[in-house]
Amino acid sequence: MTSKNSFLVSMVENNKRRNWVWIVSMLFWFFYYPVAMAMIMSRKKGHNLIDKLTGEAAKSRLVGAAGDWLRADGAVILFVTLLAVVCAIQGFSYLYSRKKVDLYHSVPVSKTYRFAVIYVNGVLMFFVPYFLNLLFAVLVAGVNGGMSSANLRTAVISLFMNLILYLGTYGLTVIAVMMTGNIVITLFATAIFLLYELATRALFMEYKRGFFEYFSYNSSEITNVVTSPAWQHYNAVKAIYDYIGKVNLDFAAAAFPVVKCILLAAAFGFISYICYKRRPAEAAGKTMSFPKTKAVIKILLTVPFTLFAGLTVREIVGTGYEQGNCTVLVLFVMTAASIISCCIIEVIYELDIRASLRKKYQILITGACVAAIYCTFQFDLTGFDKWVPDPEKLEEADIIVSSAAYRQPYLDESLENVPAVRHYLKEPGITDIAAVCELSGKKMKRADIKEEDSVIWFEVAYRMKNGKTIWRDFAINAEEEDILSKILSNPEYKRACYQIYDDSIFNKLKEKDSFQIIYNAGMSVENLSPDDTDIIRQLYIKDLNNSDYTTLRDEFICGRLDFSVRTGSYGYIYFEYDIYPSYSNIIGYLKEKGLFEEMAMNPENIASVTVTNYHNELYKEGGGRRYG
Amino acid sequence: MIEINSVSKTFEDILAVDDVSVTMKEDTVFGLIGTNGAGKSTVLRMIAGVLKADKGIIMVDGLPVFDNIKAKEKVFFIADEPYFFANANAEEMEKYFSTIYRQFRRDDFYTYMDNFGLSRKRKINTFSKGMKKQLALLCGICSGAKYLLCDETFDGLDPVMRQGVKSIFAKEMENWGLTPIIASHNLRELEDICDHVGLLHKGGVLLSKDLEDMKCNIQKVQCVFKNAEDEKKGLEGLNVMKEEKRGSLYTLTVRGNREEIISHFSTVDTIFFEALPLSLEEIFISETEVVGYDIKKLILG
Repeated sequence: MTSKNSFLVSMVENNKRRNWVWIVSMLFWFFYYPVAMAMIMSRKKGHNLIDKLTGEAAKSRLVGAAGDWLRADGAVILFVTLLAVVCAIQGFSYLYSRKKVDLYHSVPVSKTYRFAVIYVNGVLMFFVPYFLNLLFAVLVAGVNGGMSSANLRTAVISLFMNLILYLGTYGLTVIAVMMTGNIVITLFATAIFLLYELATRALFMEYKRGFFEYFSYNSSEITNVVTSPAWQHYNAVKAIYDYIGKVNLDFAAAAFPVVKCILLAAAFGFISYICYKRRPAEAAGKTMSFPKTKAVIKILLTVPFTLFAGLTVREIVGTGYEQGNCTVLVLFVMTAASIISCCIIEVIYELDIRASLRKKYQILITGACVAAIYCTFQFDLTGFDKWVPDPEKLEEADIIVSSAAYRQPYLDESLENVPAVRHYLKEPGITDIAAVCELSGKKMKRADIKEEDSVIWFEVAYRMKNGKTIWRDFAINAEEEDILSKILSNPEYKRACYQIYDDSIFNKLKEKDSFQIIYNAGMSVENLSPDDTDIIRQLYIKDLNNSDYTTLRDEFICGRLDFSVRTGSYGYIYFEYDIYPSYSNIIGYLKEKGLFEEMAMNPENIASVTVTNYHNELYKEGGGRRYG
Repeated sequence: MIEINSVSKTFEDILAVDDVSVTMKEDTVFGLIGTNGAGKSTVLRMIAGVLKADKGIIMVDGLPVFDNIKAKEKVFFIADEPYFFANANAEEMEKYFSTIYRQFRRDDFYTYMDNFGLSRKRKINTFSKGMKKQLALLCGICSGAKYLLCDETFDGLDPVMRQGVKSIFAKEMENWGLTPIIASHNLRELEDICDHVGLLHKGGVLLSKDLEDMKCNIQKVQCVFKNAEDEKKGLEGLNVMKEEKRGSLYTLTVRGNREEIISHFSTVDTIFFEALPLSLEEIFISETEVVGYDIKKLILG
């Protein structure tokens, strides 16, 4: 049993050999926090003087600026990650040297104790300078009138979350150190550990996109990355601020990403400890510490690399309909890539160019794995494209009409802009299962879409009763009036698509000083009274309720209502709602106000007409096609 | 006592130590000799707990040594190239070892430092190779560890310093019960210091014996017999391990104690007779030749 005192003595002894990391850490946080905070406060005070702001307004500016800085994202995340990598490698780099291993491992100190001393010191190298300088920055902000309870909370959150990020990255890098025997290979391994899952998921996503007709980027598993501390940190911080900003009031949903982050850091720490205990001393200076892992790691690297090479060639050579014709070239490149990658890794393992063709069976294993994966996509062995929703198992569906969804913004409860997909997923889906299934049954294959066809693109999230969400993107022929009318007239669809239905959002918007309603008639623009917001909304909603697919298809837009507001992060946000001739209620209002104008041009006003041909005949002759 | 029982160690495809069993008794100086690559360093690193044996077990005073603090407290390992912290001086190394070895004798350390003429404040990376070895030895001697494992430690020390270290060993053995275990490829280096010698070859132990036993039981005799009859009589009844004749001068390596052999030759009429002590090298040559090895090739190249 080791006393606390001797643990501290050991930590001090260990730190004597790691001074430079302390200095780097201390200097960075010193300049980042107190020094930068003093500069920001001084600058903002100057702005207050220029703008002649006093009292609460002046304080609010200072508090806002201090809060933004204390949130510590962006460059800080990068530095935390870099510091974690440096501390982990520097702390355990003695394992690369036989001389050092002979000393450290021969003295009467248990492996567990030594690991704890080095590991904890590595954490303190981040935490102590960070905490002290953050405290100093809070004091600087406080003295200058830039502190508030919210800012204090922000500081605590950044301290806690950056510590978790540090622990995750640090643990992962320590694992890389344990798995390897020299610094160059460790750096490679660290980069691979940090990016492998992300890169592999991206690769498989691109395979799905390349091979499957109805793949949707919304189903991208990239967002489900588990092993990336930075990714988990991003999700956790977002969840915390969503909860604080009342975007998401579900505490469990907010806490889960944070818990995931902590568990990931703990898991990496534990795995690194196990690796340290099992790492043989003779691994010093070698490429890999655990010979048994060599083959597995090799295959895990060569298979994605070979698949990537194949996909790249397929994408470059086989564009459009030509993809099927480049199979031979793809096979050749993948064969070459598997051989070359296996050889390179073997050379790195053995640090001997002559070792390149050793263990040829591993080239065969790579080839077999690649062939299996490639065939899975090529022949759709998972039945991705064949899948149709089972009405019995389908709970509801979120249907996004791309042309409608991506031309307007969506705001969350805190009036922050959110991606359309996130907004749709939050809104209730369409429960008319029969219509959803019918729509799915009408989807067109890309190859069947002819140049003269008019199609509408859909992104559909099928929400199954078992809790799973399955995404598919597909086109529907615009002539399928029946089903398109059913979907586009569906009140649930309209509610999700047009945020004008959301009383809560518009009640918040109209309270903003910057809120404006503009009637845009093409040739002229008129401001409408924000006092009439509710009336205008209700009239427009009434028209929207009466509209259907044929309105959109057959009528020409005769005006537009723009609701605009200035938000914190994104400047002005515009909600643009088209007015069709059949929108009698809103047109009636505009007429009543004497504002309505027919969107027809008086020929007398036209000075000249220029016609530009943007259609490239050469492109057409080349057989190229455009979708969407 | 250090007991090595059927220990094997493989580095990937290379069998470095193959089923080695040796016992190293307390209060003796154990010499571990062998050619380069014989497995000496590997054995020492396993005794020090740096390497884990693939097979077999190493016990230090009855305790398994790998990752066992209690066993490791009894051992101090001086590697063939001892490591000192970057930019550290002797004082800093002493402080480090003092935190780890609770019995570290600081006063003795600095006394020895002064006696050896080593500076306390000078950076160790400015020391010569020999000075670094001296410092490592002093750290080990003063650590309070019972067993001092020296890997090629005498290599690089000048003869005066080597004598100095030997006398310190003797003193420390007497005062503190130190048991040095010295690995070397040089037989002559170990001759006047070791009590027990183990010979490693190709990862295995060729032999392990007390030097005194070997010395007492083997004698080198040089003699010139008066006539053929005496020659026949003189060679009869002797356990002759090796026989050389140059002219009329016989050089015999004979198994048996000195008194018995002198007594045997007193009954024979000789013109010249002399019983000489054997060098360690000669003993090894004789012993290993008996078991079928050409020691000159093994040790002396």
